[in-house]
Amino acid sequence: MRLNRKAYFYILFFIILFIIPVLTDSRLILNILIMVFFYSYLSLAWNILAGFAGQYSVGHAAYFGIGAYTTALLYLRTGLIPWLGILVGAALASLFALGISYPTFRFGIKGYYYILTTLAVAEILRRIFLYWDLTGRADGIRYPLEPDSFWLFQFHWDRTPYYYIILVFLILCMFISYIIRNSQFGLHLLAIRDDEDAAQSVRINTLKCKLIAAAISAALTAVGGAFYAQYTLFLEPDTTMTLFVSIDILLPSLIGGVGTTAGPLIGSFLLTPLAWILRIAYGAEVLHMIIRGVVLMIVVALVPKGIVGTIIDYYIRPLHIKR
Amino acid sequence: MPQLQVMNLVKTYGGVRAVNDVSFEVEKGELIGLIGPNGSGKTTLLDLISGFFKPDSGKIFFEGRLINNLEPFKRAAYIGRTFQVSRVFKGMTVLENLLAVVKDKQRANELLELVGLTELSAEYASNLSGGQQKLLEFARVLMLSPRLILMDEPFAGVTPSMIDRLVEVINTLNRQGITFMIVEHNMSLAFRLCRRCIVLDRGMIIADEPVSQIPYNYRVIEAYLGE
Repeated sequence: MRLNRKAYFYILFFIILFIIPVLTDSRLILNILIMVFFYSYLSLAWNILAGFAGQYSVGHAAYFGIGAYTTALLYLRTGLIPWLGILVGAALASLFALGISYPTFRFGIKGYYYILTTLAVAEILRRIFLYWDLTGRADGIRYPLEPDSFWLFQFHWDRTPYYYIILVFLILCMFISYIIRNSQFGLHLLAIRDDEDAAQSVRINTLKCKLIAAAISAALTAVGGAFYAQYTLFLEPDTTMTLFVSIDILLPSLIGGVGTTAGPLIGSFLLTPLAWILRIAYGAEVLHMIIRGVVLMIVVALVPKGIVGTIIDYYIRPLHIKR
Repeated sequence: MPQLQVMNLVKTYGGVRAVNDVSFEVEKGELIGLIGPNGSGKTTLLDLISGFFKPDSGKIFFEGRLINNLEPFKRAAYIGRTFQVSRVFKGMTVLENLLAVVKDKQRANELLELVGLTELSAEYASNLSGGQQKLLEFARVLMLSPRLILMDEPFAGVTPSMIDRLVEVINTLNRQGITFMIVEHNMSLAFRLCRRCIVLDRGMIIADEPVSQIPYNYRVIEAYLGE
């Protein structure tokens, strides 16, 4: 198999990322990078439904919460190791996404109405978790501290294993995203995004494609939620399932470039360290949100297609014309 | 058995009857023009046949099978369709537009050659001119090898030399047995290409006869020029 320049760049990039923990033992740098990978991963998962299929969801916090709570509750109540709990969480999130998406897509809910529907569903689920004994109501649930163990997915003294786990998750998510983008199914999703009626006119089963995209996106997001549960060891609906979680998931894609594989990565590399630096420098939770809001406004005003989308528009598409 | 049979089709928007009790039959291998003044219901009729709109009443049969409740993507297996304003997949390249339909690169390249877009196969569809997008849309429909092709103003924005080529392609495919139903505003072009014309006015069929008789039909003249 011949690799193109882009593939070599990614391989080199990820080799450097694998080496970083060897070069530094700064807990701060590792924590920031873990969060960068984490939000890149989540945004890539969101991007499969929104970027490829054009279905802009602002309710991914629901899938995130399902993944986080399922993994935690299965461990706490049945002793099932988190690695298996992650799979159950992903399956549940997929089923939930299918249950919500089928009537939504079947009855042609699109655009702003789809955005509002996903927002409402996530909020309803958050409310249910807030008043449900099983999920610990508003108090949330807390993991018992276990000795450092790969199988129990807990590492207290050294954050490096979390770093490598989320980095591997990110690479897998990028790989899945790449495979989808370059498959017939991926072309179907892009066709639906560009023009759903035209897609139907060339025999694309738009309902089925959108449902599959929603299920994959939800499953991957749930895996991210499970990682969060293992990383923080504490879950509550007001930090795990709010609208802000959904926004944090989609923001890197919006800034980096929706519908591209590199966009979410670039967006997260810009946004996440900025948030941390502002938090550390000024300590105020509000300030970093204001700054991020300003960054988002600037991006929307100047480069509405995101950084990668703009590069494609100005440098890659015109290049084709010259040939 | 006619290939397409439309019986008493009605479609209303609010108080307007866009298609009003329309009935006609199309035999396999025909090349039919669908003409009429603006707002006469031509595009709505194509939308009903291709399944994008559901009729209020009436029936549509394709090769003897009732297709009223069949979704558009299922009808697309045998009824191809192009749109009045071309609807190519703008975020994809020209070649990807065809590969999204069927993953057959050889066939895609043959069709691009047929419509004269080979040179632009790596180009993003959004960079094409309006006429080129019409040609791409036509090639995309052909990827599915449909038995009936509905074309909504296929020559709008296409250069005269490309029009000649497109007419030749349509005639060749028609000789191979593909049925065409073409909405066209350019009368001379419609008369040159088609053998039979259905004329719509205010949602109703006012003429359905050989092309040679259309210019002498007083109802058609009245619809276009007024009383």
